[in-house]
Amino acid sequence: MKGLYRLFKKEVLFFARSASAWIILGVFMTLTAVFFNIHINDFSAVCSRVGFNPAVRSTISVNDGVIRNLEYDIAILMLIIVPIMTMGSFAREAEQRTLGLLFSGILSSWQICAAKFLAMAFISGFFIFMSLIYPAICFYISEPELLPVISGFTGLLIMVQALCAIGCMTSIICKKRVTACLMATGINIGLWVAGFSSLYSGTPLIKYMAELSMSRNFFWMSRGMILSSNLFYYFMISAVCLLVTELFLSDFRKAGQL
Amino acid sequence: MRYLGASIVIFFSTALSAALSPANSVWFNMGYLLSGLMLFVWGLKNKSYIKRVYDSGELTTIYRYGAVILILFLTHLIITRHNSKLDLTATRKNSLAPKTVNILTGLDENARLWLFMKKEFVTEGMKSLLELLSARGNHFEYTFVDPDIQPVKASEMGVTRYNTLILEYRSRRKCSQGFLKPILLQPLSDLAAERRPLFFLQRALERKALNQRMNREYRILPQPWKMKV
Repeated sequence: MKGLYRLFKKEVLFFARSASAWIILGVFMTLTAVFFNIHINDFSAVCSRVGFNPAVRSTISVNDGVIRNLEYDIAILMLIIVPIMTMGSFAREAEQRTLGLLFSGILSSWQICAAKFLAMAFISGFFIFMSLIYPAICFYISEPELLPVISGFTGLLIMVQALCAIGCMTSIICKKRVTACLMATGINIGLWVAGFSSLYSGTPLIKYMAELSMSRNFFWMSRGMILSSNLFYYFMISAVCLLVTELFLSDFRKAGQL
Repeated sequence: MRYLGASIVIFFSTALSAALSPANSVWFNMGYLLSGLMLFVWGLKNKSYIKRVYDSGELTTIYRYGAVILILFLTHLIITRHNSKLDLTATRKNSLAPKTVNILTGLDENARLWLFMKKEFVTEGMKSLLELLSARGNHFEYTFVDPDIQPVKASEMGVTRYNTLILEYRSRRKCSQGFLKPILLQPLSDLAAERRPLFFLQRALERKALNQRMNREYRILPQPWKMKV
């Protein structure tokens, strides 16, 4: 466990000391601020137009009008940002031919895989944590419900962990940073849009594909409802991707390719 | 390898087209078939490679992981069928009324709701309500049909207008029109919109339960948004 922790710490520190990490965080915070501003303006316009009508007033809320939309925007941003962060996790080692050094240590393939994944998950979690400033502003100026906000951001956090696992998997498969990033982005977007038109199609395959869609599994969490199937879905995506990562890693280790 | 690559590309492009296309088409099955054919040709051309990999024992790891992945997918399939929920909203707006739950669980045959409407008119509130209804009752299904893309289906069901709903139960059909209009005209009142069709369904099936006949029209009140579920 000590070796795992050391590798985890090394990965986090490497990311924290690189300029690109802070640039990514800056871009992320700027974009989320712009989206938040748009949603706040839209919500204010709606409130000023129809807020006096008691029948409509009871149906609009900050949770639905601002925070939920912001959660969706953050989720879509993370589909692109997480691959940029994770693309180097294994590909960088492969390009610099330093993975052999890791193999020469006491760490097993599983430990290497877990340490890299946990480091990426921690950094992505930090991004989500930083974006909590917007709900905090909403709580300062209004009275949104707390539990749906917690549910939505928990959903975001779990989703980002799955994205990190996908990023680690593509990084080991491609062994080139740019290719890994493109592949991970493609998979993320594919999983997000999977089953978008399932409403209009009755085939069982498409119905099941819709159940494997990230957007669909995020839908209820953003609305303040936690479903066991949604939680298991993200766990399943992470587990499958980490299994494939470990499979490739142990294969390279045996072959001594890296 | 090009046959294997082509097979994978065809499979995924077909699956993606099928997912994004609203209408079912025979071409999708052709795509899957072509993909399978390509895979078969690849297998024939690489018999020696497959045999070598099989004999070397490298596949045992893949089998092991394949089994784990398969178990995960099957567990996901089971969990989606037997979901447990935790509604964290203060007003329990994501939960159905007990009466509605009773009606849904009391259905002894499949009830199918056909919604003939354009995609742009389908609101999130509507989708979430229908998902809740279908998740709760094992005998309730719904299908959206775009009358412009599937005109044959629309004419089969005798639909001549957009936003027509047909509820099918015990081989009887009842049609209603226009009750979704308030949803379309008041996109702000999504939450209220979630409850309107609930009222419709509740009323309709309650009447059925009382009369045991199902031979009267499903009537929609002119201003359902003023009614409480």
